[in-house]
Amino acid sequence: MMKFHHIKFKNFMPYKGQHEIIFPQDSFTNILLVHGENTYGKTSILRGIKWVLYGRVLDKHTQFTFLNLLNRSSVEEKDFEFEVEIKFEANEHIYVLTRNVKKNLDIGIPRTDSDFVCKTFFEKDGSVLSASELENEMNIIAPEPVSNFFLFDGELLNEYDALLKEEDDVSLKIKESIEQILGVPALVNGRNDTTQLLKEAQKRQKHELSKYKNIEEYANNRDEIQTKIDQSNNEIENFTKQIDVTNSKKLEIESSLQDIERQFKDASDIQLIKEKITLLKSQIDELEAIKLVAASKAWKVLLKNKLKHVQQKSLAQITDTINQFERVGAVKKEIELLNDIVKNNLCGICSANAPIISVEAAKGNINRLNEVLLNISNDNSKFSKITNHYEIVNNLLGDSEERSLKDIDTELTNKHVQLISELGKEETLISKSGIIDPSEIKVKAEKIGNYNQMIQQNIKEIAKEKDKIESYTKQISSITRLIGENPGANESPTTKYVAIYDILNETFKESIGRLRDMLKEEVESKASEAFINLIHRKNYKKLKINNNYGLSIIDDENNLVDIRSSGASQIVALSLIDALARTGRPSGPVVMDTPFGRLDPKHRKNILTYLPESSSQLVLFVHRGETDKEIMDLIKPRIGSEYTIKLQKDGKNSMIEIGVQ
Amino acid sequence: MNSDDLVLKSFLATAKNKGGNLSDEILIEIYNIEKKHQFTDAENRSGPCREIEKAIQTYIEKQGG
Repeated sequence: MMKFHHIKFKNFMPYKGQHEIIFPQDSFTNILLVHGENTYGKTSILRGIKWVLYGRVLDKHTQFTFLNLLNRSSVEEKDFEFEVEIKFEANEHIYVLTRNVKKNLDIGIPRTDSDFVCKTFFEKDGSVLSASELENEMNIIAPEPVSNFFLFDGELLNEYDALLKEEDDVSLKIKESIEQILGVPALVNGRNDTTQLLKEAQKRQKHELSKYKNIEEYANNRDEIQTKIDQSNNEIENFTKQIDVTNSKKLEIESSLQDIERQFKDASDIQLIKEKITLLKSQIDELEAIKLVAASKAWKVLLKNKLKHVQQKSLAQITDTINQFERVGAVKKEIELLNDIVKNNLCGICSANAPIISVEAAKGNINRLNEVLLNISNDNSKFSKITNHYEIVNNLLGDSEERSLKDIDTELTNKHVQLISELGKEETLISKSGIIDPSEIKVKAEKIGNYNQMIQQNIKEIAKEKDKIESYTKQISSITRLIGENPGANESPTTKYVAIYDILNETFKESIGRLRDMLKEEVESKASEAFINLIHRKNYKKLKINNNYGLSIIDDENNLVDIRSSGASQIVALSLIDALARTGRPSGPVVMDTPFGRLDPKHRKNILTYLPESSSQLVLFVHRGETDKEIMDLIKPRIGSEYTIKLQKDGKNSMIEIGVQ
Repeated sequence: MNSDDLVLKSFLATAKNKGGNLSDEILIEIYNIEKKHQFTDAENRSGPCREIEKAIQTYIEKQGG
């Protein structure tokens, strides 16, 4: 059984400085949860584990360079050293493995891997072991090809769907790694080694028995067939080389296609930034114009409160004068009515001959009202002065700038800062993007199609040559037996070796096929067991395996489920991974990055119930969207420890803190 | 059950099926050499080949030959 104890990082990827994760050791509380938002560095921890265990990290087909693995801020500070240490137990031994990379002393600024020195320290139960011993130990504990099935990125689970396409070169590669995990190479190498030993022994035997003509004839015949086998092997080697060359050309084009996609994205980003810059420039021009006007009216802003006071005073004066005008009008009308009574003894309103007051009283009222008129100031020129004054004040107030110069300046500064930042972004993008030609994509896509056809053709040719070799080998085996049965053959001391190598060779060859059948049965059974535990559809009965270890769902009426959802595909892939991990190595930890991408809550719960049982430790790197309260409640009793990845104060680097933040 | 058991199981079962008279002891010895060197690449197979040769030589000598 393998169990991780701790992992320590120093200046590794986004983790500037020293950081540590301690893994839970209890067999029940064996879940370690690492929470972290996307881009904070969850995958970097997985990469750290892979790098320290196997000395390399692959991103699809490209290997990460030391500069990729070194923290960027450390590079800026000219600290060119990073390190990862892992402590684990396996097969009742304690191992500490440390990989340290630092700049070669003769190099100023390192640019390639050769500018660094990488040192590996490997301890087993406190004793230091050599690099070759490390490789041997790791091949027994958890060989690198197995790591894809216990240290994996949940987002790449869909790659396992390729296994269902039997003739696909990707599926053949995955099949090869699966067989490596399951121990097939021991038999394949045994077949190849005994073929070589048999050839050498046959040569010696021929030499020893050259005096027997009939044996020599058989031996010559065997040599001729052996030559044909060698030719077929050469053909296979050539076809394999062609496949490798074609594959590398294909990968080159695929990676340049990714470059073109990146260039297109950069071009679109540049366009957006240009638009932003244009807008910011016009806003700045507008603000400058406003500022200019505001500066010319700045004195008004200072007098604004006083002017408002004067404006209110003028308005009050106008209202007062208008009231006086109205009062004069009313008094004059009253005097007019009273004059009617005095002159005609007649009411001016109703024309009655008997007015309600006497002539004498009317005269008295007229005198009193005339006195009132004299007391009311009714200066037209004063009124026009007041209204003019009011209008001037009003104009001054209406013409003043609402915002102060300080406000405008602040906004201008902000706009300038934004403009500088956008100009900087534009410059960076322009400098890193190349020439973009959309027609390149079409041409390159066609090339990839052609390369795929070439690879397919080579695979078919290799199969033909292998069939030929099988037939030749049978012929050689028969001839070897005929030689062995010849009375003179016992005179050669090598005859016994030839017979033993021949039988060993045949045994290795046949056992490969037998093993494949046994493994398929074993993997199918274990994957089905996992699948039934993980899937919540009751009409799915089991999984069926094909020659590439690809798995298809079989329903309860024994029908193949042709179309499956992406969620179901992910469950199938997880079942395969679990089966391979359990068939290919003793129990060990399972580390999953973003494990639940396409899964609904029900399946998430199934996985979280099943995996802690089937692994020694379950390490999950999750983001907020993956763990709701229900899921957390379910796994809470089994959580051994939790960590949270946070950004450091600089906002660029990450840190690992114990607990949930 | 681990696949290591399966690989050996398959190897021994095939040998029995073929009716060869090699003992389980020598078959297991040869298998263990191959298992130890299962990730040694094709260019470096002379080591395991010499180990097998030596094991067979000892086996033949023990058989009295």
